[in-house]
Amino acid sequence: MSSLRSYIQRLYLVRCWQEYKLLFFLAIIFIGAVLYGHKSSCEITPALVPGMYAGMEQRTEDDFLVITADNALLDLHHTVDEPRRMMIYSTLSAFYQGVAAGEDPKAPAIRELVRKHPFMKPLSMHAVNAGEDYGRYLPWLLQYIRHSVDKDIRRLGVYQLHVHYDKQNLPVADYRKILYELESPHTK
Amino acid sequence: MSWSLPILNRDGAARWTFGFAFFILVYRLLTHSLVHQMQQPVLYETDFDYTYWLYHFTGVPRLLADNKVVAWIFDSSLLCLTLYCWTTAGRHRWAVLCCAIGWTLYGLTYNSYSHHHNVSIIGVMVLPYAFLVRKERKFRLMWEGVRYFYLYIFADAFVHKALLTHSLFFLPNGAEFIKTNQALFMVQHPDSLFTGLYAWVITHPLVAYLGFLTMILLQGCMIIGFFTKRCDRWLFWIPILFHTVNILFIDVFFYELLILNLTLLPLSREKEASPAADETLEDLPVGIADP
Repeated sequence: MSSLRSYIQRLYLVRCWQEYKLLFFLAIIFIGAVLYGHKSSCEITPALVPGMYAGMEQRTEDDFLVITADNALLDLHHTVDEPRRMMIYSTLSAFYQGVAAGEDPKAPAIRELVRKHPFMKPLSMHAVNAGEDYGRYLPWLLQYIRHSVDKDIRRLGVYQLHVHYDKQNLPVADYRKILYELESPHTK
Repeated sequence: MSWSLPILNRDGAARWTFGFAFFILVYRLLTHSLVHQMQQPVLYETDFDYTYWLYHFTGVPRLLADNKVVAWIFDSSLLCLTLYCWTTAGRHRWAVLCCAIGWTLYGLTYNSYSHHHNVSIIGVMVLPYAFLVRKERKFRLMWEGVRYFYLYIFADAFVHKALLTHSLFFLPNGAEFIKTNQALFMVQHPDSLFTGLYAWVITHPLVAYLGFLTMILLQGCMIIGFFTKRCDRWLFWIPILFHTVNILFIDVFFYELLILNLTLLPLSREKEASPAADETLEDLPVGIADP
């Protein structure tokens, strides 16, 4: 019995309760957020960010967005340049999806959420991008790329590169389709 | 011949933490991803993460990112506060608080405007708060708590893949990850040595799957840390190996998260604050229990 008591006394949460109650409650809130996140499949930074987790999918083809600057491929450093690549390609992908949907792709799901839980409305108003912001994106992209590669780029091209995976599962480029062209100061 | 990891006291932990944070800031500067370098972005991503909904509800991201002057002041302040906390070993609570809040705001801002909620920045968003605690005993509890948070990141990923989605047992997964993450690079750089390496691994799916399995099992090994601190000297190397393999094969850069690796370093005995202490607290109990 005394060994069980000693065991319990050594538990981290028990020690927090005895010596640092604020930390104890923070830990409980964190554990609650983790459990809620798993149950609802919602991200709750920093408790749960499941978007990085592996899925189970075998792709036979893919589409990538490719950028050319003054007709030369925009080729950033592989992997180590991740923050800059995210600012360019991740935002471009979101823009492309938003334009295709005619609004922020999350908007329908958020409207449904607010319909079920009206108290979420004030919070949800800032969860989506306004339609007019999509119109300002491409000029921003040109400006960001200019500053980040430190070149006076006059012409930016955004292409969709279609790739399929052959019998050996290796990628093969099929075609490239122009999506947008920007010429400073105008956008086409 | 024996080896051991460096033993930290509170000051040492602070210097390593804020020193690492400084290098993260330099890395972000070089990759044009500080707030003043974002060039007043227009679109942002909150996903279904209530933390980000709340953050954007406050209007703070727009305040920081929309105005060049404010963005410059924010980044400069973050640099100065990080350096100040490093030189003073986190002894001034006001500076630590401002620095910690600064990194939290930066992480949320960058993740919002880059449209990708990166886990890699979470380490520097969380760890500085540990130095707000003055009393030695409470600090150790806080430090231990962040250690559990770090172990949880890996353990949760393992549990998710092995028990919830069973993606661990999906045999094509190794080759699929490399294929989809490296496809654009391979197509654009057909003569690269890396392309040859990726092609070989993709065309040998068993090798790819064994690599994938090994990495996931290494993630699972971090669960050991919940039960004992005695293996921390080995667990310390797992994230380094894991993130290095990710850089090589999966095209993701997670080295910034290694700031939390500092919590796997042993702390010196409570009564000895000097760096001369050469004994550790490995014998003390940990989260569940230390046998």
